[in-house]
Amino acid sequence: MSSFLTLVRKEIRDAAQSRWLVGFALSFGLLVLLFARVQSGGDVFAEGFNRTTAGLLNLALLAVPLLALLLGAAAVATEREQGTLATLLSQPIGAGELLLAKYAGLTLALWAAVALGFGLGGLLLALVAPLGALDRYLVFVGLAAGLASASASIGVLLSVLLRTRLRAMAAAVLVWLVLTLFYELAAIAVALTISASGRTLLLASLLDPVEAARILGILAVEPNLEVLGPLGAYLATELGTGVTAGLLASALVAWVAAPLVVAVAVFRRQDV
Amino acid sequence: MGGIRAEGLTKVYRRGGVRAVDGIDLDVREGQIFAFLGENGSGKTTTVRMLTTLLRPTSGRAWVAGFDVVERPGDVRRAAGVALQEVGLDDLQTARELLELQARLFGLSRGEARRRAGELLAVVGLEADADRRLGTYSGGMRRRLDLAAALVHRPRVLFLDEPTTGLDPGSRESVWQYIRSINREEGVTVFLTTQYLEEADRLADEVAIIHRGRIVAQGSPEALKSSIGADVIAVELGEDPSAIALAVEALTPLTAAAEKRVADGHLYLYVREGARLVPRVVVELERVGVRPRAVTVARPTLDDVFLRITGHHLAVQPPSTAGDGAAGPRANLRAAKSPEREGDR
Ligand SMILES: Nc1ncnc2c1ncn2[C@@H]1O[C@H](COP(=O)(O)OP(=O)(O)OP(=O)(O)O)[C@@H](O)[C@H]1O
Ligand SMILES: [Mg+2]
Repeated sequence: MSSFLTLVRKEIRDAAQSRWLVGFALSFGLLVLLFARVQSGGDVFAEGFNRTTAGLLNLALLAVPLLALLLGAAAVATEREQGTLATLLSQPIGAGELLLAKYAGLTLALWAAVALGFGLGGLLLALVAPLGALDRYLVFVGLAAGLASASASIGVLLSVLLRTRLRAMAAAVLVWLVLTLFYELAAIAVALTISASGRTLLLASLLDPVEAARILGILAVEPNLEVLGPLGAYLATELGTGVTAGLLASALVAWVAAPLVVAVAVFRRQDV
Repeated sequence: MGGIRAEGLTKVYRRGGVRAVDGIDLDVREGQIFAFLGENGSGKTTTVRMLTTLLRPTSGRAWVAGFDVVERPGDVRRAAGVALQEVGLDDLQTARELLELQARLFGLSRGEARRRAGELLAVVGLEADADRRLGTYSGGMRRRLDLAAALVHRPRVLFLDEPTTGLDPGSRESVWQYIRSINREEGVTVFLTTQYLEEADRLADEVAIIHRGRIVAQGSPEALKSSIGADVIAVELGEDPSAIALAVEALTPLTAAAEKRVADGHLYLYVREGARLVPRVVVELERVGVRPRAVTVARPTLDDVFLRITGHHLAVQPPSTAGDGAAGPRANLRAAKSPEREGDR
């Protein structure tokens, strides 16, 4: 256990020493402020699902998975290329333990970056306008952290499977595009062509962590499911807000666990 | 028990389909220094990586300190320490920081880790430089640090992949000294790989020669050398093939039963009582008009063992550290010429 914690600590320290963490937090905080300025005054969070919150949510849903996927993809492959992975693995540390420690360290660092970014943004916002609904803001922070965990997990799996940093990071960008952009386009296309049922749409959103987080975010600001269109109508009549939120949250957890389990299984049997 | 065993150990790399290690058997007894001697690409690193659980064998089995490397990798890693051939070191770290971090990874407390790091720095003679950044270390200092890092968890078996490659004679000598003292004082079994005949000869209790993934000879350096069962007469002829052919023909009646090898512009004759035969060799060559540049006779060396089995010399050897070095005077002669041979490639 103590060696696990030592590894986690080392991972966090390495992450803190690289510039991405502070860089991300700063730029995210500034973007939050920018959105608030555009909105110009007023209680940005009290008005429900307005442009600022929508913009903020979408921003987090784009930036956080990209960052987490890329860092996850770099994690194992970089050490493999530098030869430090072999050094680590030749020591009395289990391969699974090592991978989980790397993941845990990376995820904690990502959470810190997300908290810092949102915290900075919130602080700047509070300077411009009174912050009405702090609880909703915190839900966003939590969602971003959850999405970061799931994306990092997928990233680490890519890193293990693809072995080189270049390939893993290219794949990470591809996965990011699919999850954030193509997915939505495809969903719309499907909805337009074969008048998709609410059930297929729900299933589809469970299969995409970004989409699941997006719907959860929308539910947090606008508990009225009708804003979600046909999917919302289905959810309202069949499941209700609570069950829907539970389902989507479980989907996020599954997206954390499943790639990690596969990654550990592969990593254990893999040549260094 | 702290030995190493392997049965039919094989590794075929999927990429390229290279049969890097081809069914080797090993039996290294506890407390031995065992040298794995072979040239570039012969499969040394691949073997070490399989024995230290970093690579999965394609087939065959191996045990380190009694633990199966595939079934009990955790136990193997606890029992073994390894200094890999290519180590990724963080240049900004100091030696002390690196050793303390490693000790912490093995579950030692902060205080214990500090103490263990101090002990190991003393063992490899790096105390004075312990707080310098690794970026400023020389090759020899890095190799000694690798050695210390491999010892952090008090392993019973130590794997060293080419511990002295690229070092100058002085650094090499000091690394040898540390390896010997670790082996003697702590009874650690040492498995080291090398391309250097002299290293195998001077350091090892037992040597295995690996060639294209197979073990082609094994035994104590003395046993290997006496397996030649003869002296070696080396006739230096130059690269003229007709002179070589003439010489072989002229000497056949004289040394009918003896083994011959041609390599590197030399004709090697493995004969009994070589010294008595030399004058007659010279006379026979004179008779057919071949003028050798030199004719020497010597006790066999590991190089002769290698040559007899593989048909060629081991590649570039470093300058010998001692005049009476085990590789013998002829090795020195070749070593002196080696830059030129390297230039040919
Ligand atoms: N990861 C790999 N993928 C494919 N082939 C490999 C890999 N590593 C080594 N090989 C091949 O396997 C053979 C043995 O390599 P190995 O590194 O074990 O030799 P070595 O004896 O350690 O050589 P050196 O003295 O250069 O370190 C070589 O032909 C090499 O090209
Ligand atoms: Mg090697």
